[in-house]
This record gives sequence, structure tokens and C-alpha cells, in this order.
Amino acid sequence: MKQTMDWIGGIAAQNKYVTGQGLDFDDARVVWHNNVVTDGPFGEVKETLGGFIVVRAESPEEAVEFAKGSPVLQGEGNSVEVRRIIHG
Amino acid sequence: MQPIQHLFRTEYRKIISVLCKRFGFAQIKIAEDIASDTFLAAAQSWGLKGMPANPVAWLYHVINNKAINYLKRHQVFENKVVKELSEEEINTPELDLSPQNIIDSQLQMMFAICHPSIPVEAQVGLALRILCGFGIEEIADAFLTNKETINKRLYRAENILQLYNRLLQIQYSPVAALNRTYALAKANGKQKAIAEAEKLRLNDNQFYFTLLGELYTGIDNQKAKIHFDTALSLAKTQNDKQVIQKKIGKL
Repeated sequence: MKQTMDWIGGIAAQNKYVTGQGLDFDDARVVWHNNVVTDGPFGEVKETLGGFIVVRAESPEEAVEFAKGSPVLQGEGNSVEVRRIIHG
Repeated sequence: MQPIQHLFRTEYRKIISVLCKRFGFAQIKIAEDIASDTFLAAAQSWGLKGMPANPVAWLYHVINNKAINYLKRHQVFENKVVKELSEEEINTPELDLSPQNIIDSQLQMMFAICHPSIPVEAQVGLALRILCGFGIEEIADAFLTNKETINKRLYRAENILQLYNRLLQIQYSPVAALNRTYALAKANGKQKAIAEAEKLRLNDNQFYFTLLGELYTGIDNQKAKIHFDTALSLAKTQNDKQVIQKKIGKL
């Protein structure tokens, strides 16, 4: 937890943090095609989302540098997906 | 000032090694007793009077006295140790706590612990306890009734760092960013803080360069001076300038 706070704090100190949230698995549901609903993102799904963070970056490269600081990457097989929200 | 636990951890293994080299590995229990007694005495005395100017010398002086006292009082000297000691060694009861002998003793200790006659699980336990100093923390904890007296700055810095981490998420401000970086230096060390400070880029802010100067002080004094000079050029009040001049003077 401290590592995550330090990581986010570092981004926030550069005035580049917008918002973010860790995602609990409590009360999680998955809604599928044909409105099938299952408890939580487990089972056949190989990947699950642990959280998200929105940052202000000048370029995808800068966003990637922020992503590299995430403590989840200490776990083998974990990843951080970087997606652009706003253009220009 | 090093926190007491860090000092204990580094010195404990050296002392044990020197005692074992001197008295023989079979006397390891006695070596541990002597070392433990010494660290207990240190924890009690330093807890009351504060750390001495040269804590390592204090420890070695006490260890030496305890080792000599032990030799004088116990039969083990007659029955077991005498057989191992040469004529010369019997006449010089003091421990050899020179850096070379400490290194030699630790090397001997490593080989002794890794001897194939000792089961592997025991080797790991021994290595952790003797070579790494684990376990000694319990003694330090028990007698330092107020851990925070020793670790107060570390503990407070860590709390303040978390506070600023959260504050910056809610509301950014350059002052909060600078304070957060300072707390980071106190909690996680200057190197980490320097890396993060360089990213802040508050290039029109005198306090930014003052902070950089402070962080580089003791690590790269040339860079520190450059940053303090920049801070000086940005400083507006006489008071601010004097504060920066003082820091330059200390380099």
C-alpha cells in the first residue's frame, strides 16, 4: 500500500495526476452477451483489473514511464495497460 | 546518527565471529552470551544517556572487558580453551578487534556455518542469526522503551510523506510538492528524493532550488552550490537570501 501511495504521490508531485482508484473484488459482477451475469471476474478469464489511474502525460512515452513505477509490476505476469483518453 | 538496530546488526556478527575465532566454534554459546550482554548494556545505557560519540569503540571496549572477565572466572578456560591457545595467546587476553582480524574471523565463521556436518536448515538459521544479526532486534526492542526516541525522525517522516502523497492527489500545489519531496528524503533517503526532485521542474521557484541544494549537500557539493546560487538569484527578501547563504557556507 505504501509503495502504491509513494508511486502515485510521485506522479501527483509533478502535477500530472488526475484521478485513480484501486478496484476491489467485493461485489464484483460480470455481465456477458445475452445478459448473463456472473459473480466477479474469475473463472475462465485469465486477466483481471486491479485498478486504474488517469495521468496527464505529454506523450505515450511519458505515460509509459509513469506506468513503469507501478508496484504491481513486481509480480511476474502482471501488466499495466496504457490507453489515451484525450487527444492533443 | 545510525539507528541503534542497524548498528547492532552490523556489529553483532563481527563480534561473534571474532569471539568464535578466539575461543573456538564450540564455544559459540558463550560468544553469543557475551555479545548479547554487551548489546543489552548498550541498549540500557544509551537509552538513558544517549548514544556515545563513538558507539563502535564503546561496544568493542565492553566486549573486550567481558571476554577477559569471562576467561578469568570460568573453568572452561582451564579445561578447553588452554589446549587451543598458544603460549603467546595466553599472555595476551585482549581480543584482536582490528579490521583485518574482524574480516578473517567472519570468513572463518562463514566456513564454519556452511560446514557439511551441519544440516542445511540449521545452516540457514545460523547464517541468519550469526551472519545477518537477525534476532538481536528483539533485544533492542525490549530495552529501548521508547523506540520512537531513536526512530522518531524516520517514523514522523514516513507519516508526513503519506500525508503529502494524499494531499497532492486531492489538490496539487508547488509547496506541497516540495514538502513531499523533503519528507521523501527523510523517509527513503536522499538519492530517491533527488531522482524525484529533478522531475518537479519548478524552475521559477527559489525554494525548489534550495531543496535541490539541500538534497545534493553531502552527495555532490558542486551541484549543491549551483542550485543554491540559482536559489539566491531568485530569492526576493533579505531574510531568504541570508538563509541560502548560510547553507552555502556549510558546504
